[in-house]
Amino acid sequence: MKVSRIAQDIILKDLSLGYPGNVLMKNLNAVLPAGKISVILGGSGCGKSTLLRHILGLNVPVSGEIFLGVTNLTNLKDEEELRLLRTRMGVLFQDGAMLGSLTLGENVALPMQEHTELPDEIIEEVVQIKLRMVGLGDFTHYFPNQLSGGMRKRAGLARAMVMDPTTLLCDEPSSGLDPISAADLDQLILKLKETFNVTTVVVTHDLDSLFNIADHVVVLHQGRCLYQGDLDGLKESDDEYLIDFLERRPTEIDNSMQRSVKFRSRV
Amino acid sequence: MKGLQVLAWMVSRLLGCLRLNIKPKKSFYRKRLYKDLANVGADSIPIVSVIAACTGIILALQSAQQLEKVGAISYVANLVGVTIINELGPLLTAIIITGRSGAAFTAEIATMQISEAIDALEVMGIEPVRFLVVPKLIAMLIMVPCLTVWADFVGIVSGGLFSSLALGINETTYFNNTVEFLQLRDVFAGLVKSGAFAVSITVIGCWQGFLAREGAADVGRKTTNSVVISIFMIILLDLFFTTLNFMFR
Repeated sequence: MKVSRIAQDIILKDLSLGYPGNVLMKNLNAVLPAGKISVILGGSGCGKSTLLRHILGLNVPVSGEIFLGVTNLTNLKDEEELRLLRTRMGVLFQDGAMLGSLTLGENVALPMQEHTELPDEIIEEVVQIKLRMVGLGDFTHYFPNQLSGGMRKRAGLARAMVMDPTTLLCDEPSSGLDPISAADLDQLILKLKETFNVTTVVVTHDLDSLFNIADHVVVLHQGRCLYQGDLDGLKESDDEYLIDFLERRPTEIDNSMQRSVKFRSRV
Repeated sequence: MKGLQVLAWMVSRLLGCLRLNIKPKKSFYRKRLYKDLANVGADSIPIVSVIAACTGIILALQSAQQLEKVGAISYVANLVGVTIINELGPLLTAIIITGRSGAAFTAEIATMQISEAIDALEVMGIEPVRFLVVPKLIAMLIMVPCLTVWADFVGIVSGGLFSSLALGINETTYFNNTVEFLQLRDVFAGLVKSGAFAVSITVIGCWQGFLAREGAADVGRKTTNSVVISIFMIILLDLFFTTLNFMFR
């Protein structure tokens, strides 16, 4: 199997996903365009991260297909094919998912050591370049627990980019970060897209990140795709949920609090 | 059911790794193996030595009390030697290693599981079983039999020293009796047993780690399960090997 070195669309076709006995999303159809940043937006628990796990092949969809270009990811039976394909995908997990027993340098070097026959000195040099790219050039020998959350995520990004992937998937990159670190990370994701022309998928519910980085937006709500298109279209949408979401308007909690106040006044 | 699925997944991948896919030339696999050898072996020597020494002395004391009644105190050596080499050396070493290394394997893999580090390995195209379990299994297969031999040695020597100092048994007689009474078959049986214990502790420890799903509390639960199941399996395996040894005596 030949793995493309050019950024490709990610196509979700009639995709139903979830876990046995709990279907989170039904018949999802979407295209995440090549070389662009697609933001998957939605409330907590709507299935954003689960969708990412399905794209990565960590979960199997209930039905439907996921394509990377022309390659059907849901049909890959051979583990070696999947492994090869994954070398073209970089992933930033929610908390960086660094291996605590390895230093930052060793963490970033792992994919290269596994998939290439390059000598250790060359790998060390590439690792240094990638760590400098995310502003962590002086932290090669630090362990993940010696770093802040933002630094761990940047290190995760360096590891995701070490094999020069064509697709970059980020799971809630700004969660748990202060506004400045979150903005730094957004800038880094933008810079990576511009420099390496990667197809980037960012799962988030952070509106600041959305407006900073998105070229394309997919909004998920109550098991379906509520919106897909560009940012301007999203802002102009007259869907009630989208307006509530973008204006951060409280809905159910507000109503239930009002009910609670009424109940107390009656008592 | 989920537990059995994960066990089957792990064992099948482990067998796959053993069959074709170990890459010992990769320096990071070697580094992981050296680290596990040090963790399982070198770091366990002090606690194994202390417990083996105490066991040797306890056995000498207990057997001296009974054998003195029938005027056979010189048989203390035989009793201590046989009991330690056939039974207590392998058994106590395995139980210590379960508490130290088996629990550590579970905690390490469970923590990685809940922090998505195992998923990260998968998506980096790194086989988690080969990366995490194979070095541990190799380290355990080398180190548990070595520690067992060391525990046998320390137990017999401490029993001998105590018998000589406190019970007045001549040390040359003690060691001559030990050597004369022991058979190479006993030592070999103890080593086979300790190899089986090593496989069992590693597989159970890693399996329980891969089963962790529900946050930090689950790491503790799975670590406890790992120790309890491992000790239970060690006793069952011990019963099996002792019965086998008895049948083919």
